[in-house]
Amino acid sequence: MSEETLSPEQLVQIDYTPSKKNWLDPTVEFRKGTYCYSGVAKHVKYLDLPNPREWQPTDSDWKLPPDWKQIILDGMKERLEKYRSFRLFMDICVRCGACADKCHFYVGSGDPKNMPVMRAELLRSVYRRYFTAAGKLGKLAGARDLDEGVLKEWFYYFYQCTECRRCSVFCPYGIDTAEITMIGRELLNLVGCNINWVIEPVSNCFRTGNHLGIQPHGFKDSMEFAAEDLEEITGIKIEPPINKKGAEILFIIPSADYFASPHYYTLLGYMLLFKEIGLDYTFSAFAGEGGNFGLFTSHEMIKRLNAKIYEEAKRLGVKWILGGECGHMWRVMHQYMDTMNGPADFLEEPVSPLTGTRFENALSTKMVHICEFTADLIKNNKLKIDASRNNHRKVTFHDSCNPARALGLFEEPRYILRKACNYFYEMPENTIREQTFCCGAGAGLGTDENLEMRMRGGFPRANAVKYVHDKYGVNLLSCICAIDKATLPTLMDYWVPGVEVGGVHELLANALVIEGERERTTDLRGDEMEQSGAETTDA
Amino acid sequence: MTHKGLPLSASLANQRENLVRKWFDGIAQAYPESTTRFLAREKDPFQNPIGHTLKENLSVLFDKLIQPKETASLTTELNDIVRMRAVQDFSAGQAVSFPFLLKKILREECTADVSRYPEEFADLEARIDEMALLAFDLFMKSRERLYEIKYNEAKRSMFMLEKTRQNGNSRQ
Repeated sequence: MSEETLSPEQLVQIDYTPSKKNWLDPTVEFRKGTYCYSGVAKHVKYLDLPNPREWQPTDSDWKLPPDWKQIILDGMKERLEKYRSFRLFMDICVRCGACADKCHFYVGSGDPKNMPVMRAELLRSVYRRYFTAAGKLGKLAGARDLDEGVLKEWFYYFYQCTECRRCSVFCPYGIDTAEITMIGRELLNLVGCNINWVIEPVSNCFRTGNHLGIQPHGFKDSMEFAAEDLEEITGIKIEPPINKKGAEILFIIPSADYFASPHYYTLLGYMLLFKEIGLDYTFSAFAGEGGNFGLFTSHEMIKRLNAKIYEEAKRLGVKWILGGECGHMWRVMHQYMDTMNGPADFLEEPVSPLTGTRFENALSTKMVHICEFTADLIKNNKLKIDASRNNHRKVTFHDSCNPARALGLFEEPRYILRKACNYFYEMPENTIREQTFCCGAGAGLGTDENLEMRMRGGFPRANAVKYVHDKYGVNLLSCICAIDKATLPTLMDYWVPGVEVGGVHELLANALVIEGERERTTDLRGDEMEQSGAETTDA
Repeated sequence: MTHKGLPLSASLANQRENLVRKWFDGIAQAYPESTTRFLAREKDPFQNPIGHTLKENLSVLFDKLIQPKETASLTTELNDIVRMRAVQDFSAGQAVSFPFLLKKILREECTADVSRYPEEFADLEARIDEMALLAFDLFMKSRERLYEIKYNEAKRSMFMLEKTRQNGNSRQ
C-alpha cells in the first residue's frame, strides 16, 4: 500500500492479516500512478477560478484559503438549495448495496471506497454533520467533521470516478452517482483543488475553442492534410468546407479527430462519406471541439464552453447540427444544452437531405448523432458497401458510456458495423449496452500520470475484450468516443495485446464503394485488405 | 529428477479443491475485508474479473506444479495474475508474494505428506520457489510495459504533428 522499500527481512515476514480500518477515517496515500496532477496556476487564473497557485496532491500543505472550510460548507448549502437532485441524493440512499460492486474502479482495484455508495458517503457524511439534526450524534450517525484529511480524500476519490453512470443503472432509487461526483468536484474547485488534465483543456477551449489550443489556421491545415491523404488513398479529391456560411449542416467533432491516432481515421471516414453523398455541411474552426471538459469542472463551466455551438450555428446560418463520434459531448448535448444554451429556435427540425427522414428525437436540441444519420442512409439504400473490405478485421463494439447511458444510442452503431463488417462479435451481455464498462479514463482522468489507476479501472472492460479475443480472434475494438480512442489502445496494449482500436465511421469508410475511386488495396490506415473478390452489394 | 505419477502428486491431487481454495482465500484476504467477500462470492467472471482471474489460474498453476515435469510452462497463467497485481495497490514484494503462500498452506495442511515424502516435497517447494522467481520476472515485465505504453500513448496524441513533420516537405 505504500512506496516504502521493504528490507529482505521484512519481505519474508508476510503479514496475512488484512488491516482493519474504519471507513470514516479519511487517510489516503497519493501513490505515483494513481492520482492526477493539480491544475497549473496560469490555467486556473485564465478561467478566473479561485485560488490559483503551484501545488501538488503529494504536498502536505495544499495552500488552501484560510476560510476554505466555510467556503466549502457555503458552497454545499448553495447547491443543496439550487439542485433538488443533490439534496435528494444526499437523503435518499438506504445503503442497499445494489451499486456496490458495479463500479469498474471497485471491480478492478478492490478498494471499497470506490464502491459508488461509499464514494457518495464521503460527501454524505459531511452533509449529515452540518445539514441534518442527526449529524450531532457524530460517527454514530455516520457523520464526520470536515477537515483537510476529508478534503484530500474527496480529491482522491472524486478524481477517481469517471462519471460513467454504470452504478446508477442499478440503483433502485435512481441515484446518479456521477452527479454526486460532479458536485464534489465543484466544491473542490471552490478552493482551487482541480486537476490539470481537465483545467488546461478547459482553458484552451475558452481561448481557441478546442482542447489543444489549435488556432484556426492550424485547424485548416489539418483538414486539408486529411483531404490530401484521402486523395492518395482513394483518388477522390475533397475540399473540406470550413466556416462555410449558409451550409445546411454544421458538423461538430472532437478535436482529437484532427490531431491524434486512431481518431484521425474516423475523420477520414466522415469526409469520405460526406463526399460520396454530396452533403452540404461545414466544419467550424471556432466550434471545432465537441468535447467539453466543463462537464468535469462545474455546471457553470459546461455552459460557458458549450455556448460556442449554438453561437456558431447562428453565425453560419445553418439549418441544423450533426455531431461526430464523441463521448461526453453527447451527455452535454442531450441532457444540458437545450436548457443551458437554448432554446435553439433559430434552427430547423433536423431532416436528412438524402432520405427525408425527420429526426424527431432531436427536435429540441436540433443536433443529430452521426450514427443515427448514417444508419438511416444505409437503411434507405443510399450507400454502396463492400463489407469484405473489412475482412481483415474481427470486430467488437464497446458502448462508450455517454452515448450509451446518456443518449441511449445502442443499435445504430451496431447496425452500421453489421453492414460494414462480415465479422462482428458482441462482448458478454452484462458488459455492453446500458451495462457497458467504462474505459477507466473518462471525466478527465485519461492522463499518463494516472496510468496505473486507469489500468485498474479499465480491467473489467479489458477482461470482456479478452474473452472475445480468445474465443473469436477479435482484433479490433470499435467505439464512438474520442477519449476511448485515446485510452483504449493503451488499455489493450497492457491487458489484451493484439487488439487495435478504431471508429465506426473508419470501418464504414473502408467498406464504402465510392464512385470514381481507384482500386482499394489498403484500408484507411494503410493496412492491406484481403482480396476476396466478394460482390459489392447495395446495403 | 522425479517422474510423473508419484504418490505425492496423487495425494495432493486428491486435496486439490481444499488447497486451491485456501490459496485463493489467502490471496483474497490481502484485499480489504468487504472486497475479500466479494472476490470469493461473485461467480460471474465479467462482474468479478479479479476473483475469476485468480480462481482460474491458481487451479491450473496448482495442477502443473504438483506434476514434476520440467517442461510445464507456468508463464501464461502466472502472467495473468501478476499483470493484475502489478497495477494494484501492492508493493513489489506483496505483488509477488502469493507463491510463498502456497508453501505455507502445504506445510500446514499436508503434514502427513511432508513427512512421508520429504524428498519429493523438497522438490515441489523448489518448483514453487522457481515460480516465485518467474513471478518476479513477469512483474518487472508488466512494470516495463507500463512505461512503454505510456510512451506509445503520448506518440499517438501527437500523431498529426509527427505526420505533417514527416510528410510536409514532400508535399510542398
